[in-house]
Amino acid sequence: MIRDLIYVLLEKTIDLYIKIRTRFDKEYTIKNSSRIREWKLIAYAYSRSSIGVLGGLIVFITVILAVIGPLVAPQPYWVYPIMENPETRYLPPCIPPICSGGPLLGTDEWGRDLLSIILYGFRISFVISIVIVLLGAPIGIILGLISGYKGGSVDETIMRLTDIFISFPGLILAIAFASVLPQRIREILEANIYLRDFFSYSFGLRPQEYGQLAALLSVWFAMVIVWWPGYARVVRGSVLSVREQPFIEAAKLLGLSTWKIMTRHILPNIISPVLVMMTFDLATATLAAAALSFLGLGPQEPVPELGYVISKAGNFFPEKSLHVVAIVGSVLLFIALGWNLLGDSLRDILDPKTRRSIEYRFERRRR
Amino acid sequence: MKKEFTDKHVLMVNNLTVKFYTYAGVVHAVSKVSFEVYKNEIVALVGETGSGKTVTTRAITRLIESPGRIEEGEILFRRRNNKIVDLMKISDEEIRRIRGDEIAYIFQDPTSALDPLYTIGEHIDETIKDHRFIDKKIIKKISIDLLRKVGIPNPEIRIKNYPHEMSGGMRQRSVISISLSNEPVLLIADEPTTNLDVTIQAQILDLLKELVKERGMSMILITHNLGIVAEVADRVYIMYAGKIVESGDVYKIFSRPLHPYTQMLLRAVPNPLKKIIKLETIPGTIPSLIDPPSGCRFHPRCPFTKDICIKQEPPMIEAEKNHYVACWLYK
Repeated sequence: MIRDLIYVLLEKTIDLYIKIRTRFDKEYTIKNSSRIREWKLIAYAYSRSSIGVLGGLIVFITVILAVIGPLVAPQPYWVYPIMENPETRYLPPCIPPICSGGPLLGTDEWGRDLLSIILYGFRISFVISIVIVLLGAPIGIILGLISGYKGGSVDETIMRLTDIFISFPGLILAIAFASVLPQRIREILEANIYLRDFFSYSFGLRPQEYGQLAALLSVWFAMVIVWWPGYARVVRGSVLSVREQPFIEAAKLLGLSTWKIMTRHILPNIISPVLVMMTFDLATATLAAAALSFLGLGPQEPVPELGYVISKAGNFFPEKSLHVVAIVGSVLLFIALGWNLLGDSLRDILDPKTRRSIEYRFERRRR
Repeated sequence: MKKEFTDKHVLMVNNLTVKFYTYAGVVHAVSKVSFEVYKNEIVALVGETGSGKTVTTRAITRLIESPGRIEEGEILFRRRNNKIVDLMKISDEEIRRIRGDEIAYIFQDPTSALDPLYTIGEHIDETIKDHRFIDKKIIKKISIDLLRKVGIPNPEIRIKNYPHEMSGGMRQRSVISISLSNEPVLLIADEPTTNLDVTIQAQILDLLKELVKERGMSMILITHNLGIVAEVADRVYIMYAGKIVESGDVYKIFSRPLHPYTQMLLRAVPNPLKKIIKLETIPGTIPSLIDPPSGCRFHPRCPFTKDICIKQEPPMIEAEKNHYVACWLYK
């Protein structure tokens, strides 16, 4: 039922787009009929996959919460209610029918409302994972493309470099970075007010916390450094198989430049496994960033990084802080689950062959 | 026997040698091949599989992938502006500009020569844009004209079709239109009809023939089908094991084949009017090019082998006017 709704929704969106395009170009529908058919098939194949729809919904909620979270959070994260009232420390969750008046999800060590903390944390986790993947993946894709297409000594050099980075334990590098970088980044942020404000607002923090922001950025930097080698390897492997296709040779014989062949013919043909990998990696990056702050390598008080919140609550686990660990842990699980489910269904939808088989199954059932 | 590059020449290849350095050994794929193409004519390159036809034409635009290497040779080409260049000596960037612009290819397998992600229109568009600076609307008009020219119905709609939405014959027509998009001086068709059925084969060949005559291009046609050669070509080069063994006017080759290999090749073509009990073959197989036979490369399979054939390589001699053969029988 939800699936049908999703399909109708997607179809309506596509129709709307076509209508807008037709206004500028009368024959748009006739000329692009095959493209439109493929779009509708994608929408259909997606709506048939329960996993994909569930994942999509979770991701949708995650994104919405990450965008509006810090704006709607009932309490600011930088005010410690414990200063005025020691009783507010680790209050249990208070869900309406059972109890009333208390904070919905309880409070943390400083008496802050856990719901607000999580809403802020959503934004931080989301931004950090998106940025890690969006910076790490292109580096890997470009190096993998060059390596796979050029071959020979270029390939050898890039792949050995990749090996070096893969053999580096990410955590160790992150520790090294976390001890060296924050100071430098802090100086840069101090000197550059606009940069400082830009980063603070994108993470949903106050500009005053630029010291913590520096720690956050250094974690992120360390993650980008260790993130690209996976992409470089996957892309290189795919390039090697696509490179031998006759249409690449055809492109060479037609005198296209190497750059054009790489960007127009090779990259689009290998992009779907990379897209799937990117969605999976959004989950992994969220968890890895949380793990680093759990170990104390990320930002400190009062920044509500989810990993750091769990690590703090761990000191009083399980007598007082069971609810904090359970709720914040589930939130991380929720984010990771959404991306993973979505990635799983994308793999089926982006492959034209499985897409066709979904259509075929549907046609058979209808008959 | 070196010839002058006359006004009528478009391409002249002298002593082209291509070797592949593989783990098994050095493959002498093309050895000292010389041939020429005149303006507005169709030249056929005929030979068995693995005789070096494709490698020869690839070498013309220097697209020999590692481990292959062009060892020696001179490839003189008359550019559109009448300047004569040696394709072996010019820079990589310059030869890239010639590929697809002045020398174009038609591929053996139209199914895989098209990128599945782009429409036919985008293929043509891309090929034109990389070589000429033309306005987008004009490119579109050119593309539609090209598709109409090669006989695709409703080109305005077909231009937006993906390769998988077309039949084999239509795909081959589209590939031809892509190759023609920059009005090349020389068109190289590498077995353009191998994967098509006979009726479409005839259509495509007629089309190519018509286009060559109409646009004043020259064409090199690679094939192993002698029927096609008889129908389309003006002159023929017979290749065997990386060497040209006989060349000449198409009528002369068919009426009076001189080289034993050509004779056997022609005998192997089945006559549809006769009931055939056993198909004629040439005994043996094409020799390994890693260790080619001494002397004449055809001697292990030749019924007329003499001592000299094993010891010494036969030179190319002019047996009659415009009919050359490399065989000791005619010395």
